[in-house]
Amino acid sequence: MKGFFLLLMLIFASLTTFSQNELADDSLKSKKVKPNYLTLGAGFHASKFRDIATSPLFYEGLGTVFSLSALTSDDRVESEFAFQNLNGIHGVVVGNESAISTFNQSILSYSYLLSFRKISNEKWNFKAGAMLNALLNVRQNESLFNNSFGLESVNTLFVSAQAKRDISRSKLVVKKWLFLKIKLKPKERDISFRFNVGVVNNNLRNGYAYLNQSWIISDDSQVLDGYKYSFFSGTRLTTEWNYTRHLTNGNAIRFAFNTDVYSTGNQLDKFEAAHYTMKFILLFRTK
Amino acid sequence: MKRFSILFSILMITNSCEQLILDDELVSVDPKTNFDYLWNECNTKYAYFDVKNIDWNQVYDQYSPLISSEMSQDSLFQVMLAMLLELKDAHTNLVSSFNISFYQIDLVGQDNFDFRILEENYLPSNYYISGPFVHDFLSGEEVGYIRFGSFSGDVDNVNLDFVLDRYRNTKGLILDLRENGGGTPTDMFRLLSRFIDQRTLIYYSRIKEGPGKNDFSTPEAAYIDPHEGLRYNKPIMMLVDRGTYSAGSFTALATKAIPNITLLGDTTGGGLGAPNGGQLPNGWTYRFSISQTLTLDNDPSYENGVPPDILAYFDWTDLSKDEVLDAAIRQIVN
Repeated sequence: MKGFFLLLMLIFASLTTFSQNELADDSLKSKKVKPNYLTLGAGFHASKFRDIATSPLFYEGLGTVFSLSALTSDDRVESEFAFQNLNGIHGVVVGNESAISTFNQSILSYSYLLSFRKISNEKWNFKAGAMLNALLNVRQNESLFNNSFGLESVNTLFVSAQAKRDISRSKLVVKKWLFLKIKLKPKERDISFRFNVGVVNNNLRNGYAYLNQSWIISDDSQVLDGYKYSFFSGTRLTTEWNYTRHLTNGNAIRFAFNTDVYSTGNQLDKFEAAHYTMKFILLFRTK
Repeated sequence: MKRFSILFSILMITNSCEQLILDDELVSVDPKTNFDYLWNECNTKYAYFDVKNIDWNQVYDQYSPLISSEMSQDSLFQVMLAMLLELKDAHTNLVSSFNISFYQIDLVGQDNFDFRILEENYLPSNYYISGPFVHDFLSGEEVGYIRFGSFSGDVDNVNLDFVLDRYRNTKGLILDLRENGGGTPTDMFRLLSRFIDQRTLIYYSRIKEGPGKNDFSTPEAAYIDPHEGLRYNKPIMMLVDRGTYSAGSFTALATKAIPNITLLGDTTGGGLGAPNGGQLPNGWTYRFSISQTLTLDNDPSYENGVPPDILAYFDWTDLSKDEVLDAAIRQIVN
């Protein structure tokens, strides 16, 4: 069932990629200045992870998230170069046993989306494209003795599809509630959903023994000694829900809810994680 | 209703992503599940089955029938503890909230060290303590005695320079590593770099690279480079016993390649495998050795203990003398 669902999504993702021939033929000709934004985001996340190489248990926890990006976005094109850092304390409890792990994740990503003009209209905008994403997790779990330090990098090429709905209120609306008269002013706003499917999933993981021996053979311990880079190994899906309110001065504010679920491929030391992130983002228009 | 549908869709999509990619929970307090998990972890990763002539399948057959679904957590712990003791490895532990298993390697041989006897009969009352080193002169000022009780990572150029400068005019040094249970090998590299004049190959190390008993990496050489500052090149007697373990044994093994250091006392406890760390489905944690240290002729058997160059034992009928220390002093003075 899982495989079938994955296949369906990959086909969907592939179709959206190949369909880019249908992209608006006037998109590249336009001389209109694309709005550029510097975005600053902060919020919270709920995450869970499991590193089979050291434990069969999922560690779950909450933490903070911070993001920074350069965003270019209009009806035709959307590109974003982004950095995100996620921090937290995660734990596991089984009966009287408990353990905690620190968790720090940094992500660098670049994404590029182009619109489907033929199926887009004033209210709906559909885009498709790709995203490169490099993720680095650093963990510390003292209960795991010499395996207390965990580090992995997951590098993914996604194909992406985005649907955006303009939910602006174009004119003043007056509503009555009991004896109150409520005036709802015009607002420019939109809501969007983006779905990213990892098509190239690579990762950097520890060797078979997890622990390395650099600290035994030298006084200069090498963190990545024994690590191996695996190509086309693993699965990753991310989703992004955004509610954006555009302000009259060109800036905007955004509420974002993102999910990032991934797994490295090797059964012996599979690393699995799911992150659910809620962010409040300020978009400062720079051009 | 429309908004509820959107919210419901969000939850469905996000939840399905997790169900699609993450495997099922493996948490379990079932005794058999946990016993099998630990046995299998050792079976595929423990490094010294062949060296210690352990038939791990036979161990499973011996202890598995003792597991039942009704047994208490304490009983389960006792069975798993007994299974791990078969490894005869002090780098092996099972840790729960109510007990910690351990293998007492120092009880394999007799006790050969009592610091109180040194304090009462050999050292002055105001002996020096420089970082991790307890030290002073012995036998007039002919011998420098340095007690190094733990590889705590505190060995540095400041305390080493002070100690070696203080004893630079002695006939020899005694480096006492008896009952030194180990710690960080970094200290070993810093310490021994003061006793060599050229780059010295001290041992090889290889680590498990697959589930087979002999699936190891290619052995990697360990070298020590001479310190560029103050060094000591007169005779050094290194005292060891069964309590000299892990980084203590690494150091003892390394001395075999250093001509001016003589190993004196009892065979060390071994512990030449790097211990890993892991967790069971019931939350207990464990560790065991996952690498082998090889002598310069590629022999892994010193895991069972590094033999001394000169055997010497404590005589507990006379509590005014440290016969091991006396033997070392004689070697230097005579």
